[in-house]
Amino acid sequence: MFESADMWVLFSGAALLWSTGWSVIKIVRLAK
Amino acid sequence: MFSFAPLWIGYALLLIAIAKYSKSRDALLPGKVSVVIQALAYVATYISAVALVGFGGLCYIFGMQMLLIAAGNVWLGTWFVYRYLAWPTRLWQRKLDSRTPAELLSKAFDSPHIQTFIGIISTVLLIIYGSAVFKGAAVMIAGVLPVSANAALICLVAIVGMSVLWGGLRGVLYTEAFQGLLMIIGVGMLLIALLYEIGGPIAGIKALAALPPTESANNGFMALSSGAPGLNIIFLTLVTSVGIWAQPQLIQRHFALKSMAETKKAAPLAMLALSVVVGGAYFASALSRLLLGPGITNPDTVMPMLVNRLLPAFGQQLFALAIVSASLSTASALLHIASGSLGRDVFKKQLTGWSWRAVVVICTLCSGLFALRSSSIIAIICATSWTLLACAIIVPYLALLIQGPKAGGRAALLSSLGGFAGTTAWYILAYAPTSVKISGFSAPGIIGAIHPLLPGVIVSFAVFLSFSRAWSSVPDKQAAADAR
Repeated sequence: MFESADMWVLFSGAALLWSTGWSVIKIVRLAK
Repeated sequence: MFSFAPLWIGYALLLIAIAKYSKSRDALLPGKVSVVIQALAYVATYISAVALVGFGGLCYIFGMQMLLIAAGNVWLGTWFVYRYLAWPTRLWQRKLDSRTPAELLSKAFDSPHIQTFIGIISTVLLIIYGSAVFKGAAVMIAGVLPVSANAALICLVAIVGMSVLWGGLRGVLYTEAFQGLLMIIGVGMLLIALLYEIGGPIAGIKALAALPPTESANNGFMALSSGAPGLNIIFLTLVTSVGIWAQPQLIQRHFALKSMAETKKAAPLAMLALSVVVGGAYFASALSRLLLGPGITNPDTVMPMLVNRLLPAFGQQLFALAIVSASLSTASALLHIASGSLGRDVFKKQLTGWSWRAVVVICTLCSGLFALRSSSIIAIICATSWTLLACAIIVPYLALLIQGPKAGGRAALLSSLGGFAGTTAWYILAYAPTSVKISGFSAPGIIGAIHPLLPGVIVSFAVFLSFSRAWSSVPDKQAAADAR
């Protein structure tokens, strides 16, 4: 599946997943 | 369709009520606003319906490579802005007591002309850009309610005009936050329905990866295209993620910050909202090819077709509300900054009471009239205004944040003029998608695919360096005066 994905798409997908996860963790920490 | 009319009437009344009851004393300053409102307002101003419907359609054509734009918007357009630009901007704004971004640069560099110049181009370009945003929203409403596009347009212009007039910047921020929330709900709903239909994200990606390449997605739907299409994606990422740094309506959003700690709270909220709205919309649209097949030629029809296919009637109306919200939040920000620029930067008025009402009415009427008239020049200005403004503002703005105003007023003004002239010249003479229509010329080969943002910023930066007082051995009049 991911063999056909190039560096640009993998990087973009990872960046979006990272931003989502990072933001959720930050918001939870700030809410505490 | 009439059964949903109360939903839309309620939406319109709520927008006006929010604007009316959240207004502040100063039409151009926000007063105290919570970080949640600031973050949602930033996202709602950033993302227009063009980004959702237009770029969503492009995802159908180009596939997952469009996620590069979403990632750029989240990290460069939001994280970087809150990490490095927002708080220094607010500090300068507070120190100089400026009401608009143009006034900020003017006071910092002690150059009245830069305020007038940026004020004029902001007013003209943003009124026309706003007219296109209104038109898009009116067409959307005419598709879901039994009204004509022109009737919908008049109602929308009136609603946004009233909310800007009554609410000022604070009212605009609150209405935008509400609209941002609707955008999250609408896109989230579409994404869930699509993933359910195609059997989850992994199955969807697998199926998309198996599709054969096309002319636009020439390396398949899971890779950046080679040649001009790939270059186009990279430039779209830069224009929408870096060009955003210098858009006056977004610079003005930083004026609401109260402390540096607020930037650390606003950043993750805005990034999460943007990841859901843009990342979700682009991911869903890229996978839409699996449901809609390969035959669609007009990308603007992809999102409406997807919504009609996946969502029930109420869901379709809710998604239409989200798209109209994306348009109206951008339109209200544009109308507000255009009114502020006209009154404060061009006419140099304080903008209280009748003077504020007068400039809002003028800008609202102009935007509405442009929206009712279609012409090729309006279409070209709409497509280029974002880049023209970015090239006129970004170099002096970043220079102010990095090194303060030591380069001098002449360098700031000339770099602003140079950036604007350079990017305009590239659009007219070299950038193939526009120059062939305007002048009949274009730069040869791949050079003709270089987006005008790049040459515009290079010219602006070169002019800035050439006339910077920090580098020049010949002091200008101001430096001489300072020395005396």
